This record gives sequence, structure tokens and C-alpha cells, in this order.
Amino acid sequence: MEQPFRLESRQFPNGIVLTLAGDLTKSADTELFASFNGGTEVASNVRFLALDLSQVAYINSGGMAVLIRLARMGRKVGVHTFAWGVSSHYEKLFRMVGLTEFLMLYPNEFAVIQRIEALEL
Amino acid sequence: MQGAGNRAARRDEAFIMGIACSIALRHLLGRLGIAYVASLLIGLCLLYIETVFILGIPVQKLLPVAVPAAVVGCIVATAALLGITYWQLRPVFNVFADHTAKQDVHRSLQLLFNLPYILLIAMNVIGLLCLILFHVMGGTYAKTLDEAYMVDWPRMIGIFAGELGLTLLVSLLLFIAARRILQSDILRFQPPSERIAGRASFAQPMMITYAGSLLATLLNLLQLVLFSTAANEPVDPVKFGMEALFYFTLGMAMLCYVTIQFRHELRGLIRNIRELVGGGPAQLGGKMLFSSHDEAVELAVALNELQARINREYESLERELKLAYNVQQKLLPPGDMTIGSFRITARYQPYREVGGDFFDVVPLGSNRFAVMIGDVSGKGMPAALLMSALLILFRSEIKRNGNPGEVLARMNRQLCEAMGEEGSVSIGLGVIDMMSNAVQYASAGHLSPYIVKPDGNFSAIDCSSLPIGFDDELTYEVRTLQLEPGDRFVLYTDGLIEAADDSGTMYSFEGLEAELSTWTTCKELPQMIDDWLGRMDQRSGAGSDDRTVVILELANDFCSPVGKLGAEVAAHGDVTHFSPHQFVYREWVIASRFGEERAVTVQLGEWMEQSWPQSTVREDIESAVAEALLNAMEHGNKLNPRAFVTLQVQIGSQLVVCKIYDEGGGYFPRVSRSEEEMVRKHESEDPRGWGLVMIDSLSDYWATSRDETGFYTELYFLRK
Repeated sequence: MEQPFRLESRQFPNGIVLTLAGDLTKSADTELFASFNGGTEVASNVRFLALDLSQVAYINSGGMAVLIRLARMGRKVGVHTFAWGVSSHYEKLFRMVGLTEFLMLYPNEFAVIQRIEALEL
Repeated sequence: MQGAGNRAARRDEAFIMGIACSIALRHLLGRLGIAYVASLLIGLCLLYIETVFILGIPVQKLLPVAVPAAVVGCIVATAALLGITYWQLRPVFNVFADHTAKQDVHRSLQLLFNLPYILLIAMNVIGLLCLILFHVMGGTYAKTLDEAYMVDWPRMIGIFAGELGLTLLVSLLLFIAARRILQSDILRFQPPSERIAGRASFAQPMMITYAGSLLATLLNLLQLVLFSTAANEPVDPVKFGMEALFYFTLGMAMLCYVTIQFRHELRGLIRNIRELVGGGPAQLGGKMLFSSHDEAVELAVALNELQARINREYESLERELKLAYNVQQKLLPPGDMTIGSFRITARYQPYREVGGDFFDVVPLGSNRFAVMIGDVSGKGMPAALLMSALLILFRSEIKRNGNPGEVLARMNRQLCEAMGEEGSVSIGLGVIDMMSNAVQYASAGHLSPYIVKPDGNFSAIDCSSLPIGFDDELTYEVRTLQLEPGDRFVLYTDGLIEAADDSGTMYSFEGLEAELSTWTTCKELPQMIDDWLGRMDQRSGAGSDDRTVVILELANDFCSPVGKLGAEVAAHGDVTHFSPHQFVYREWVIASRFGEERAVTVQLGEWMEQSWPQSTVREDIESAVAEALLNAMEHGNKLNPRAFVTLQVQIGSQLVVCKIYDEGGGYFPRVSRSEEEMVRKHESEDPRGWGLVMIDSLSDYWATSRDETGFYTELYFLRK
């Protein structure tokens, strides 16, 4: 029943897209932060972090805590964090735990790209 | 102030005690006085009969001097005896009032024991003095009336001997009466101690009575002979025979009384020894009380000491057995348990304080559990010790996995190694798969279990094999049994089958099967089992072996009795039509490993979807329950994979109640809803604590508490 956590990252101008899949729990912590730090080292001018959560089946409080830490860390270094593909239930949970203060939610990737382009202008 | 108050209270108490003792002394003196007067009156009567009827002296001749003199003599003797008694008893009653040092008690007892002997001597001395005085004065008086008066010595000696004989008889009566009257006061200083015992011989009072009565008889017969000789008449054989018979009978009666008194005490002693030999604390009653201070008391003191020692040993043994019983009870699981759709009712009745029967129920992962019953050969402490060791061995072996046959084989090898074929244990072991409701059953020489259908039909499961502990190479056959809803799987030990009634008839398999065939009612299982065992107790009493019974019932989804209508449909479907007090129940048990909660929450979600088809709270419940399960694993069970978390869910028409139990000592959940706390939490590096925030936000109400199952978090969700 448990689905293992998987992570893919790709870059776009001034930013990184992280595609998350499976169960997002505390155990995703190491992999996620390693990937993000690697990306920032490669391109120090990263200003945007986009999270694709459409393939995430389950997020528990540990997963929430990981996302909060990630987004907070990004904000500290001036990185805007966006996410899309979040179900209405998890959107509600993100709001409950205050994650939406650090992470902007959009319905899809297109909306996120548009927002980033608008910010870059 | 308080000290002064206490002193005053003690003074008052001493004053009251003093008055009470004074009353008791007067009461005793009164009783003794009556005895003295009665004895002397008997003496007077005998003197009268003797003088008038035997010796033939006319009454007129006695009236002027002899009768008043005899009455005065009796009054003087009574007064003197009472004076001696008062002088002897006063210190004794002071000891009663003063709460007594041990030596005072011994002295008092000595005085009480000696009083009858003192009275015996005193009576004889007083009597002798009175008689001498009377005859000297009588002779002098006769000489003043008639100067030619000559003492008729043979006649005088005869009369004196007869009077002396009567005095001796009276003193014996006094001796016996005083012993009887003082008995109750002597018992106030009991139980007897070593220092008092053996100061006198049991033969003493008997010898005194025997010798005294013999001497009195002889003296009276001597009187008759001398009197007849003095009158130059032959001795009348009828009078002689009657007098001899009378005094002999009186003497024997007194001797018998004294002997009976001694025999009574001896019999008490024998009875106590027999009770002691019979054993058991119930037989070991109070200490023996004695009103004498002879060899019998010495024996009683020794017996009392032996009794006290045995009592101490019993008490110590009882304490140890009680402790062992408590330990054994704590080792066994609760008698009523529910796991998933299964209800387990187990009852264990040890024959003695501790027994060799045992049973266990062990959850194995999220969808399996094991039920075991066992019987160690023998009873009492050795069996109980082996039982405890086997229970722990079983718990460790069953967690190592494998089918029941393998578990039994491993236990068998370990028992053979440890006990060297000296211990024989029968075990029945079933592993139940809650997904398929199948039972894998293996038996090591245990009695065949039964499967009882809801209509009362039953079948015995044959699974023959040897008990564990015989041969370390043994293998055990495993049988797979399929249970249907309402089926009851019955395990039991031989103490139940072999329970015999008053006529010696065993309960037997026929009795058990007759009982099983009646299990068709919808009665609650624990109640039904308790009723059955209650009837067994009435029929066979405590029996002679431990009795254990474990019944596993596949109840499927449990519905409260009021919710039976429609519950069957609702168990797998919409519960919208339920009344507010109707609920459907389900339970899951999972190990404390992160990730285990996922499968349960998915199943719960599916069940919610069926039960509340259009509700929007399904995902809220899934997330909140997952968080509560994670908290129970992490904070309750400290992530110990051998500790389990139990989720109990009740779904009604408008309300879902979820209870999440852990095996830990409990924890204080802290959640703050303030802005500052949320900001602080966001800035903290500690990722923990978000679970409670989610539970708090998603549930309509939540709380933590503890009941007999363990610590739990309770979540309530209203239908939306």
C-alpha cells in the first residue's frame, strides 16, 4: 500500500522544477534537500523553485514539515516557491499548517510559468 | 495539653478498671463463700446423720452444746476461709487492674493454682483446732458438772476420728469446688506459658482426692468400730457396710470428677494435635487454654508453640502463593478481548492459588493473531513455574514467525533441552488470518478443539500428536480451518472434562458437547461462558485440576444490540438510515512501523466511502487518523516494532468515532492555536508537532485518555 517516494528535477531559466511522486513523508527529507542544494550549487542564480505534486498520493505531517522547511529555506535565500497538482484536501491542509505563506499554489504548470514570467518582467 | 488529656484519660481508665476488678473480686469471693457454706452444711448434715442414726446418740443430748458448737465452728471456719481467700486473691485482682508485667501474671497464676491446696490445708487445720477446742472445753464443762466424770477414751477417740474424717471430706469438697470456681479466672491469664507449666503433677489432685476420701472412710469406720467397742456391743454389719459404701461412693464420685476434669483437658489436647496433623490453616484455630499447671499444660505450651510456628509458616506460604497468583494473572492476557472481527473470551480457574494451565492471545502484524492454550502436567507451584517460562517462550517464538507447527516444534526443542524430558506440556495453537478468517491450527497432545456453528452444530478437530517435552525431533501437523461469521472456536483443558460431581461422575466429552449444542442463542459470549462455568462450579465444586477455556468467536462487524436491524446490510454499505444510536464497528491492529498506517487508512477510507457515500469528510478522517496512528507509534510505542497500535472505528449515521490505542505509558499532547505559536513552529527546525495541528484542525473533537486497553487518542467526526 505504501508507495515509495521518487524525485526528479529539471531546470528552467532562473529556476528548478522538482517532480515529486509517491508518499511524501519525513523520510523524503534527505533526498529532497540533497536535490535542492545540488541545484542551487549548479546555478547560483536560481530564483524560482517549482514543485510538481500531481503524482503525490499521500502527504502526512512529516511530509508537511519537509515542505515547510524547504519553502522557508528558499525564502531565506530569495527563492520563490510554487507548487501545482495539489488536491483540494491537501490544499486545505497546507493552509491549516500555514504552508501557503511560503508556497504559492497554482492549478497547473502553465499557471506557474505565467506567474514566474510576470515576476521576471 | 494533649499529654494532660491523655494522662487524665489513663487515670479515668485505671479508676474504672479498679472498680471493675473490685466488683469481680467481690463476685468471686461471693461464689467461693457460697461453696464454703455449702460444703460445711454438707459436713454438718453428714455429722448429724452419723451421730444420730449411725452412733444412735439422741438429738436432745446434742442440742444444748454440740449443735451450737458445730454451727459456731462452721461460721468460724467460713470466716477464716474467706479471710484466707481474700488475702490470697487480692494481689491477683490488682494485677487484673494494672495491665500487668509478665512476672505479675505468673505470680497471680501461681496464687490461683495454690488457693485450692491452701483451702484444703486450712480447712483441715481449722477443723482440727475447732475439734480439739470443742472436746477440751466439753471435757472441762462435764468435769465441772460431775467431778467423777471420767473420759471414755475409746469412745472419745472414735468420735474424734469420725469428726476428723468429716472435716477431711469437707476439705476435699472445698478443694474440688475451689478448683472449679477458679477455672474461669485462671483462663483470663491464658495462654499458659513455659514458666507455669510443669509446676505440679496431674496426679496431685487425683492422689489428694483418692487418699483423702480413703482416709475419711477409714476414720468414719474406725469411729463406728471404737464406738461399738466402747459400748461393748458388736459392730452392726449393716451399718458398717452402709457407711463403708456411702463413703466409698462419695470418694469415688469426687475422684471421678477430678479425673473427668483432667480427661477433658487431655481430650482438647488430643483434638488439637489431630487438627494439626490434618493440616490447613482453617484447622489451626486458637491456642489451647488450660486451668491447671501440670504436665498437660507443659504439653499444651509445646503444642501452642508448634501451632504458632506452623501458623507462621502457613501465613508466609499463603503470602508467597498470593504473590505467585498475582504474577501469574499479570502474565496472562485479559479474559475478554476483541481483535478485528474476532471476540475472544478466556477464563482460567486454577485449582490451587497457582496452576499449570495457561493461554495467550498475541497479535501478529496487522491482520493475523495467535490464540494458544496449554496445560502443564502436574499442579501447584512446579507447574506454575513451568507455565510462566513457557508463556514467555511462546511469546518470543510466535513473534519469530512461522506456522503453528514450526512454533510448537521450536518450543518442543527448547523444552527438551531445558527439562531433559522431565516436563510434559500439551499445547493447542491457532493462528488466525483476519483477512480470510482461516485458522491454522496445530496441537501438541492437546484435547481436540471444537468449532460450534451458530445453529448449535459442532465438530471436533482431530489433530493427534504428542505433548511437547517428550522427543525433541517431533514435528506437528498443521490443519487449516475456515471460520464463518457466527462460528465459535472452542479450546479447553482436561480439568473441564475431568471435573467430577458428588457421585464421582465426570463431566466428560458428552457433557461438554451437550453444552456446546445449546450455544445457539444471541446471548453475549462472556456472559454465556460465565453462566456455564458457574453451573460447572455448582456441579463439581473446585474440582481437582485447573480449568481453562478459550473461545474465539467470529462476530464479523460488531453491531450494538439495538442496531441489529439492518446492521448486516449496513456493515458493507450505506449507514444513512441508521438511528442516532446505531453504530457499525471495525478494528485494526498494526505494528509500530512508519508506513503501516497507510494500508489501514486506505481501508478506512474505502469503508467510509461505502458508509457515507456523498460525504466530504473521508479524506479528513484518513489524514487525521493517519496522524493519530503515527503519534501512537512514535510517542506511545517509541517505534518499538513489537508494540502494536490498535485502531477502533465506529461509524454511525451522523458520527464517526475513532480510537487509537498504543501500549505506552501515555503522553501529553500539546497544541496551540495561537498565531505566535504557528510562527514559532514555522521558524523551528523541529519538524514534529504538525500532526497534532492537523488532528486538531480536521477533527470536530479529539481527546486523549486511558482505559483498561491502554492509552488512547479519540477523534470525533461529524457527517458533512
